[in-house]
Amino acid sequence: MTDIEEGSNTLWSKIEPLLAHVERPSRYINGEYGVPHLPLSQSSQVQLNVGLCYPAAYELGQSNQALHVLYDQASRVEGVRVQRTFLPGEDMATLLKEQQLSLFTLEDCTAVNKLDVLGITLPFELCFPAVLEILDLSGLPVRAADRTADMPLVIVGGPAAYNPEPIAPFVDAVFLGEADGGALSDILIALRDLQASDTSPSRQMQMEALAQIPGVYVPCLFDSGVQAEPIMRRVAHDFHSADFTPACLMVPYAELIHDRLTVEVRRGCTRGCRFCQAGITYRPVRERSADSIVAAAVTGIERTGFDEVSLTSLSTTDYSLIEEVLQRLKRRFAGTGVSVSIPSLRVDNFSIDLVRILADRGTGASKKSSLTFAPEAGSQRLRDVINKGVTDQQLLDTVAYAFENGWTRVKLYFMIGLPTETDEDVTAIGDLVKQVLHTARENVNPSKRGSVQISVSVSTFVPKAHTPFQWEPQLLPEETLRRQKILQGAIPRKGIKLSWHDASGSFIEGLVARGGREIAPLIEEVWRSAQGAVAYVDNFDFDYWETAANNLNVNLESLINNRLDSQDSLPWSHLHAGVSTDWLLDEAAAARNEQFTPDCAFDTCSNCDVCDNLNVDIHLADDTVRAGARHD
Amino acid sequence: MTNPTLFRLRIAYAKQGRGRFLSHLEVQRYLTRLVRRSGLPYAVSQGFNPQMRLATGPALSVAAAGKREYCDLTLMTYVKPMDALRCLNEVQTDYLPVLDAAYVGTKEPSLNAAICAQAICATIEDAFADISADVQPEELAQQLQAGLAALQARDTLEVELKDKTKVFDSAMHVPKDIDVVTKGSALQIGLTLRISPQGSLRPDALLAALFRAADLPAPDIGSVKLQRTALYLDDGEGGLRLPL
Repeated sequence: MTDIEEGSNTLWSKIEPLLAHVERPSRYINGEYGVPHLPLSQSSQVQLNVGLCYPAAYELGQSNQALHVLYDQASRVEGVRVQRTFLPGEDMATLLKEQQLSLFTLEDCTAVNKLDVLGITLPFELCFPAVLEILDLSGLPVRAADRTADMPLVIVGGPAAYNPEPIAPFVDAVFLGEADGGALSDILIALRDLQASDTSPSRQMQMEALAQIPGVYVPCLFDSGVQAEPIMRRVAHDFHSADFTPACLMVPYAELIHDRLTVEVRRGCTRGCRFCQAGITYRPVRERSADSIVAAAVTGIERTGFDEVSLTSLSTTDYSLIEEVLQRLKRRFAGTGVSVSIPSLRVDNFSIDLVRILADRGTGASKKSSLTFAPEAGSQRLRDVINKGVTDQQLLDTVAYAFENGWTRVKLYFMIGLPTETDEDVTAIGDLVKQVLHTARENVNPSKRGSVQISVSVSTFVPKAHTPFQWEPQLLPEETLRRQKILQGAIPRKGIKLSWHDASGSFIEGLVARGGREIAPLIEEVWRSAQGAVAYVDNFDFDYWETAANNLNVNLESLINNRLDSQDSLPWSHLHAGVSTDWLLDEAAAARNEQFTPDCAFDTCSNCDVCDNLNVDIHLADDTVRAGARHD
Repeated sequence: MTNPTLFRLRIAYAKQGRGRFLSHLEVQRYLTRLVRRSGLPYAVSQGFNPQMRLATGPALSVAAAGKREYCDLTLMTYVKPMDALRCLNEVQTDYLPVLDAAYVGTKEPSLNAAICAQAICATIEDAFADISADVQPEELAQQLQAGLAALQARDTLEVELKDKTKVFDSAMHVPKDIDVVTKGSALQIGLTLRISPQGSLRPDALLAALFRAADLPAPDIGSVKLQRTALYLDDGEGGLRLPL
């Protein structure tokens, strides 16, 4: 057999002629190594057809670690057939519309509207128009209320689902938390069993079944008072103990954005940066054992053939046995051309030993790639406000170590518009960057002094739900532009590559991040007026939003630039991320007082209540690290 | 200097089915991952960023299938070709199955330097859709042969490729003959094209030029299925031989 068996529902014969007319047709052909193939003879045993969708192009979506984990877990549920679908390229989307073809799944090339369940990841707020585009391309009404029982249930989850109200009218259910600890299985089994007991369950029955599952928010049942608040986030209780080598490791043909094996070493980060939503929504810290990480990396490389493994987490250098793991992988992959990389680094724990291990070419994380650090603010005062417990000296020492050991490039992330920021704080970013450049040039091999490059990426602070800064106002675009101009003047031109986020893009991100149900018509209007073009982040155009806001009589600025009252109910108040509101308020007060809150993974408990509320505890791979910590 | 302890395994594989939509870079990436999965003792290059020593033959364009493509893999230890084939077959995909493997001398020129010709079969589904209903299959074949003669009569053939124009010497690059076969509504054209370090005429570009010269409407690219049926080396005696 030279090709995939074609089932009766396949659209392949209609899609194939289109592939000669689109860019990167390998996005649409399926058949990657490791993708389980379902023989036609077994298709009758499928009771629930599930699509997992990432609302971006294949090369971004297929890179997503969660997609792999959830795909693997769903494929283990008996009677469930899981398939992938992504936002097609604009060229393919145009052809699908012209030919009146539905968006299709990769595995069976079936129309998405024939699935029973469509699960969509929400990686960031600006992807919401892409969700509407995906529903529309699938021939589905974008509003959940207009969809009928023979159409797939649309369930969303992921980082941007913690304030789902702006997208609530378009989805049937929202999952809050980590779906890999049994939650996904719970959802699929409930729907499968409902399907088995009644071949055509009503939409109401499906919703009610979902609302029984912890972590699942069903907006229409909440609105009608059937589902009670709060809906608590779920965690994967077995994260650190479970065997986590996936049964199906997919190896793409196409080059991905993150084209490597990923091994998640740690979940959660309790450093306590007060702007960081992930720091709240993934806590507490849970680490996998060094043995299981090394085994997963070695097995994964053997089974996939990738030439790089990335040890992922919110802060991998905080992993308590990071040096041991890197040393073991270095020995294991010596002479194979396989490299090991770490995506996120902290300046305060980037030790000399770690620099030396990473600098060794046998390990991988090769010198030719740049190191990335996120001081976030230029002044110590502002870093204290945001609880970024690093000093200028720590950053400069780290840069010195790195450049002494062969690196020639470093990337620094900063934010402007943080609460209490003054023009002096913005100028301080420039001062710090100058010192970094000077330190890099002083410590690099003199023959490479010319190739020293410091990249500075500056984003605009966007207050996010469930964080201590959730009540803070956000800069308006004009003020963002003014501060960007100050920064531009403060940063040396030579040797520095400066980039920043588009001011209006951050403005809209903030609008959606803290908006309520009233934002939904705006999103729909933007998507309709742009005829789907805004589904692609590269096509972001503020004019669409401004025009839609005028049409709908929405004052965008008042939604963004006002401080929210801590006594008021917020659009996400019925959703519980695990930490108490009192703790968030304490942290907001600590920010104003420039007080530092230590990391509870290594120091005393800060009483955020997440462990009690979610019945979970901190787990480090090296218990001795916490021996002296007090945990209330 | 060539390392005498290394072994060069020539591998034949197909690019087929939906796999024809893969680009050359994607095929190369697939092959290196295939080798790593297979557990074969591959050699890596020296230098700061060690790479697997695997070299592929001439690129095959996106949407073109290959009946028998080749790559050369350098091994650090000798593995029986049949064992190597078995290891590769166990971890391959349906789109790019490995067909054969045999050792070649480490001093032999690279595949890209040695391959000098390719045989192409173009199948055009529903070929008569855009052509007058009165045209019979035999007439179409004659028209295409006449088109070929017209191309041969020119000194050069100009081909538009994205934003640039490439000029080919007709005597060297336009095939001496073509096989035209009609099967129902489908048209099949077989031809052999020269591959040279100075540049090779793309089969789809030649077909477009051929239809133009034959005064026929160019077929929609979505309806043309290209397959490279063979690659050839110069046998040193004016003839051609297969790489494996």
